[in-house]
Amino acid sequence: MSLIVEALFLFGAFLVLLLLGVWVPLAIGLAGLFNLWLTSGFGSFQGMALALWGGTNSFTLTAIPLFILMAEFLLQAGLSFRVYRGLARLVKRLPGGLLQTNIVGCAIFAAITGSSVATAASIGTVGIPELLKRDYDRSLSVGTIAAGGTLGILIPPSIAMIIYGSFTNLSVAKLFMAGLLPGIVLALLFMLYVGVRALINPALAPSGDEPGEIEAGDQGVLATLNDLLPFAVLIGLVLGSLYFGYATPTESAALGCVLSAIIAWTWGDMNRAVLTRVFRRTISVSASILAIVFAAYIFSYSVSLSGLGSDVATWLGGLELSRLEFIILLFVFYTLLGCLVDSISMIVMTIPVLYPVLGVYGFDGIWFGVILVLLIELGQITPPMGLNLFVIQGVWDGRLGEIVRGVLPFYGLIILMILIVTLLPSLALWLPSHMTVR
Amino acid sequence: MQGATDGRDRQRRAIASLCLAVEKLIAGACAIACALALTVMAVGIVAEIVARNVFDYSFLSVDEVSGYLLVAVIFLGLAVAVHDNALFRVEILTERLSASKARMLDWLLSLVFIGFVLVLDYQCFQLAMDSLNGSYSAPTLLGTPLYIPQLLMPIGLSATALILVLRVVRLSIARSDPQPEVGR
Amino acid sequence: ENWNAYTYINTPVMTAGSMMQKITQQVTEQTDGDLTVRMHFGGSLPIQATNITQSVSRGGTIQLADDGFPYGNVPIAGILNLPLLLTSEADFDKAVDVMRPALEKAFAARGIQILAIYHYPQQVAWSSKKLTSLADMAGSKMRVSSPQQAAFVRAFGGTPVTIGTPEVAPALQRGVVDGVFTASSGGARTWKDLLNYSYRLGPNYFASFVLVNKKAFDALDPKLQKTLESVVQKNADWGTTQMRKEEQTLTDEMQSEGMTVTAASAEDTQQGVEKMSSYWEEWASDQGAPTQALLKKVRAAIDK
Ligand code: NA
Ligand code: NA
Repeated sequence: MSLIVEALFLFGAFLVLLLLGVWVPLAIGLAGLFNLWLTSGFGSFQGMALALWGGTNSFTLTAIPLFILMAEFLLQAGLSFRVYRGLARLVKRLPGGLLQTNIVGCAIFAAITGSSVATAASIGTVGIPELLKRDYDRSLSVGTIAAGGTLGILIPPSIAMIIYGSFTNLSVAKLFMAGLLPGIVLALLFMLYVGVRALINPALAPSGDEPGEIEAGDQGVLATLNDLLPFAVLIGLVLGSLYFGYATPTESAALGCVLSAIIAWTWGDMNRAVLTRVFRRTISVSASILAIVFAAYIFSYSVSLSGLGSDVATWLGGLELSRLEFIILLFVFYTLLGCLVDSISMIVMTIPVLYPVLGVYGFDGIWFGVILVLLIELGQITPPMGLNLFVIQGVWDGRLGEIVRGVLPFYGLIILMILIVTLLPSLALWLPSHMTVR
Repeated sequence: MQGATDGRDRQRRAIASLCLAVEKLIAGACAIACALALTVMAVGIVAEIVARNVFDYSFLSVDEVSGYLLVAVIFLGLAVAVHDNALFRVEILTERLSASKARMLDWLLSLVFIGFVLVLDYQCFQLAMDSLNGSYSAPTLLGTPLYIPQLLMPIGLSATALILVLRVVRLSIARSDPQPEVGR
Repeated sequence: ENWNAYTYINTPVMTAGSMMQKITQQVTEQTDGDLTVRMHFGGSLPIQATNITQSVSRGGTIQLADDGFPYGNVPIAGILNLPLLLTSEADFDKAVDVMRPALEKAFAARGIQILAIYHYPQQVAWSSKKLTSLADMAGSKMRVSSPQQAAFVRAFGGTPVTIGTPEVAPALQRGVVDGVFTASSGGARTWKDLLNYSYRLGPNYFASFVLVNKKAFDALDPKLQKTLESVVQKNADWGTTQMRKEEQTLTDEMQSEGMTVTAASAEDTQQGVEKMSSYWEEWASDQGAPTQALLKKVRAAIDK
């Protein structure tokens, strides 16, 4: 079989499995096993166990369940409501009102968790009911949550960056720093868009005359501080430990975990039942992400061993595209892939093949990490496999089509951001190259 | 006639709920082990941060042990995720199928899943045995014999396979059962 | 025959990586394709550096490999890692000569044949803080890559820390660690902008083993075996020589760029050996009588 035929066949088989409703890790794993058998024979199965062991026995990856555990503590102890309430008082005077709260809330949550699903869930479960109660524009309401959620993997910490780093041996700390400025700029772009829309048509964001839960109770500065302070402390300590050299990225995840547990016990509603739920959900969610990771190790092992990976890389390198053409090609590819595949799978299935090509086109690995995250953010909000969309469907009464309509403009803004980072790489690279020396 | 059918139905339903109870038990045990692993991991790493920055001391083993604990979370957690139906899947096709057809597809895919898990299970068990017989250890201060943490892989995979087998049994019963709630 | 080769080095830009690439290319050429070896660099397969021994031993996938981390699998090799035991290339070569039969036996027990043992230039201490004598190491956080290096750091009042290779640069940058042990031609190449001092007292040479799966090797035609053996040995010698040359050039270059390079003082060396020799024996006794006996032979051979 020629190389392209083999690659297309493998990819086609994988997509068919997915469409049949095969669980994602199983589809990836089967594609891997099949390729292994086809190209290297049964004998190569023996090496697979060492690859699984080598891939999963990883200190770097421990950050994934730890960051999820941290988010679950805050979510289940009801702390996302408090941060939402505190922020609402701060930013509701901006044009767009609570829609702006959604975006800022997502950005703040993004600075605590590494997952966009956790970000969308934390703010969405609190925000969407409030917005519906107040007759905010429905599609704009869900659009801000779905798009805001994608900030979760761009603003550090980021599970996507951890996985990209562990597959490429790039520094996770540097990748984290690279995402920070683009993340803030993207959040500002979202806010700008919402503000402009609200100024043009104030009916999209009616100022709430009927006080809901958010307006109830003490409106003073102290009350607002009391709602926001725990989060400020948490973000300060976790990111501070990272910036100032007290901890590595993985270690900061553990620190965040312990701190959020303490915050949940002191500020939130915590008891044994909640604690059980926190752990059970953390394990379920982490294991479903990590199952994809370990299945991907089988896949990447098969692709590397057979030489398919390096052959595709050589072929791509030989096309001699311009840098922009290459980015456009990637954009088209990831958009198609992003329809059916979740974000983690998108990284783990493509990077072993694509990463060697980056060198050929002279792309910086850290910079590409940011582009990659933006590309997979698009996948998070495209149906049918759009994890952020699932989260919103869980907390709202509307149809999927309505959510998609609401997300579309933000889709455009993320593409604009890809362009900005492509034309202005220093937006991503300035911070990692200027990290402070103590 | 009627009585005999009722008796058989009762028997089937008893088997189905027994399966469900055992699945729950296995997933619960795995979840407890994972929760312990996560707690030890988080507390251990924080202890390392404090020791290094405050007391100028490093345990030199925290990253190694955390890696092993992660293996536990991944492989024992797989059983939990499978039991909780938490694995991602595309539902374009499944949501268009009738309940009985969807159950049929689920039954079939679960069988494939069992096959896949057992292949990995066998390979991982062989690896752990090879590490035991060849006395392979980590080149670290602890010098952990590798078969111990490596055994976590086949243990988790076996638990996953067992849960899937019990589910397939339940789905087989449910296929001929008018009441679908015992199947998923 | 079609084989796969693996190395822990992730790029052919490093001399040890280019050495393995040359080996695979030359074997394929010189056997007219009777034995073709596909090269896989570190990280391209999800096999950890510390599991290379086992992956060669199990065969099936990897038949040929460069193994720099066999110490958990073949503990007696750890003698080569003991801090300040082998402080010159001559010492290293003598030690390998003495140890060779025992090493061959230990690897053979796992179905592995040694094709070559080569070494990198001495790993020395580097730091962002002042480091011009062993005394300066007190209070420093040093990144170590083996329990033996950790013992060395502790013996001189420093704090040993373990950190994965990709995180070393940011860890140095943000002061998670102050220093590392490596060679000018090794990690220092990548991290030199973050380091200001090099104190050239090495705890050890970094030894590396080119290994072949015994079953796969025995299945080869004797002529192919000969070719493989000679290609590997030739390139391993080339690698050692090449890295020795690079080490001098790169050290001079770093010094001219502002790195404070200090040669090991005779007092420090002597004091270090005195302090570490009890650790050598302690370590060997933990490993058991055969290792103790072998260490004794090595010490006799190098007169230390
Ligand atoms: Na984040
Ligand atoms: Na999608």
